[in-house]
Amino acid sequence: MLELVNLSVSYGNISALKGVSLKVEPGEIVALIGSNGAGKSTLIKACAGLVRPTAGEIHLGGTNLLREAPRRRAALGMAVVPENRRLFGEMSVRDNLQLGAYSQRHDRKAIAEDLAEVFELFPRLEERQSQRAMTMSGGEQQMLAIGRALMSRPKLVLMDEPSIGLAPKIVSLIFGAIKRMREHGITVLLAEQNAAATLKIADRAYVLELGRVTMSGKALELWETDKVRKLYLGGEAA
Amino acid sequence: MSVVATLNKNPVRRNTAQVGLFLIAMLLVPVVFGTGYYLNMMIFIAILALPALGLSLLSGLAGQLAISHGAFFAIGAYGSAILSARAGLSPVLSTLLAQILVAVIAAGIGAVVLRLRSHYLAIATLSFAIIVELVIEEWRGMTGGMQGMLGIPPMGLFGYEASSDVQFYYVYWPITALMLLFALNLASSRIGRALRAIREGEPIVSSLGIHTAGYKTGIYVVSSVFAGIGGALYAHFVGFVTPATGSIMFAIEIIMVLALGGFDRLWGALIGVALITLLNEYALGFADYKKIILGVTLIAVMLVFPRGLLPGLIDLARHRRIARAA
Repeated sequence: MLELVNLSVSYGNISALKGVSLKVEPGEIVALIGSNGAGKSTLIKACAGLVRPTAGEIHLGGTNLLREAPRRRAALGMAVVPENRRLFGEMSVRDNLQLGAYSQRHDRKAIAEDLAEVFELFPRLEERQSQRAMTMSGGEQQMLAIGRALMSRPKLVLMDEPSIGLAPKIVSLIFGAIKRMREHGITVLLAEQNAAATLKIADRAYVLELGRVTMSGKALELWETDKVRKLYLGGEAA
Repeated sequence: MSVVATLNKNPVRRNTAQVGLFLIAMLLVPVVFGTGYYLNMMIFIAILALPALGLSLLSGLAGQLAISHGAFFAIGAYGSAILSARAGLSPVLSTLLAQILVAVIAAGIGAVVLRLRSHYLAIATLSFAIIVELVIEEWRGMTGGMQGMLGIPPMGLFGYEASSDVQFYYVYWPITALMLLFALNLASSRIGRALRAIREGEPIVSSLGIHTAGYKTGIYVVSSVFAGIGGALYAHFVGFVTPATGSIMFAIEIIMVLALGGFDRLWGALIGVALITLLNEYALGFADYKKIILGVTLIAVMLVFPRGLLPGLIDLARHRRIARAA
């Protein structure tokens, strides 16, 4: 589905990604774990077309994405749940969701169906549909960001730290939603610092450190390795 | 479900009902108050509402500021004047043809400038406005230069010409009401939603599949045509045009209108125009200081009520009421 070959990205003199290769197969949840500054967000942005790679290739399906504008990538079935959610704060929840359906253009019936599905996944959004997005809690905003992505009927969803700053209860709700996306055949590339929660739901994972992939494999097997545990279990293991 | 609730659900129906009621009220004004000099002023309000509505679409919906609405008002006015007075076309036809010129120029500017960040539009359109003013002043053979152009035929169709203020009033207000309805419907459409998303300035907009530059250019063209139609209506009402018709000062006055009426309220644009027209009319004694008064007021409003005077006052009143209730 998605394949990166030797992808490098630099911001001025600072190189954020140094020749990263990875593959996401259809129907998988692939985790991208690493600490702050490891390059997770840069990788997601490069896939979405929001930063320009200095070298390497990005393929989606059979299409080379490097020359495609972000809006073309949306048309190819890619949706993004960006870092910090990036909602349209002044607009209503419903407006935000309908903007996600933009690529479906005039198919009102399909949009109404998708809206009903998103509301079923996150009933809270239905209750708040006419509220301005900026007035909602962090967890609700994250639900909205995911809902907005789903409104485009994507094949692949790129998620950048959906659990950041959320209470554990909300995190498990969000991760439950990601598992349900996989059940509906949606492929997910999930960048996360929260390795413990992420590796439990992911099929495979890549560990990113200082812009390089240092480990990869089945998610649960990676979780068993001492290094990953030490890196991400927190204080007492380090 | 009550009638109000139904109307709120369908924005097109709601807009049509509101504008319809408004137009009926406007059409009754001469019946109730009779004819008089005030009608002249009301016609100017109908005309000037168009560039104001156009700018409100651009800045209120899409968050872009242009200083070219005076220039496009002038192009609409001179274009239609030249096509009707010199080429002998009917005023309706010349009004429409002049809009093609407006649209082509606006599309050209938009395609180049709107790929860049928003403040470039203000700078580029300011330069454009200066160029248009110079061309009008210097192209004497066509525009009459500083003397302007006289003898522009009044608005009319099939040999009927509007000749009194009442007739102009009954021709121009329905046009303005229709344009207002178009603007309101555009704002509550899918396109309007995309434009509001663009206004929020998030790069993520393009990841939703929205062609940001295309939308911005589109709304700039529509917005400019509003100004162009206003200019043509002006020319065929007043009967003459001069370089002052679409000067930069005029463009700034239109911005002033939005500062009073609210930058993101289409109805506010109408109220702002009415306020400015009344001010211009009854503050004639201060004519020498007009620019200073306008400038200082604009700065004060922007500092105290960045969304515009009218919305600012409404918010203030609401907060007072809440504070008193608490």
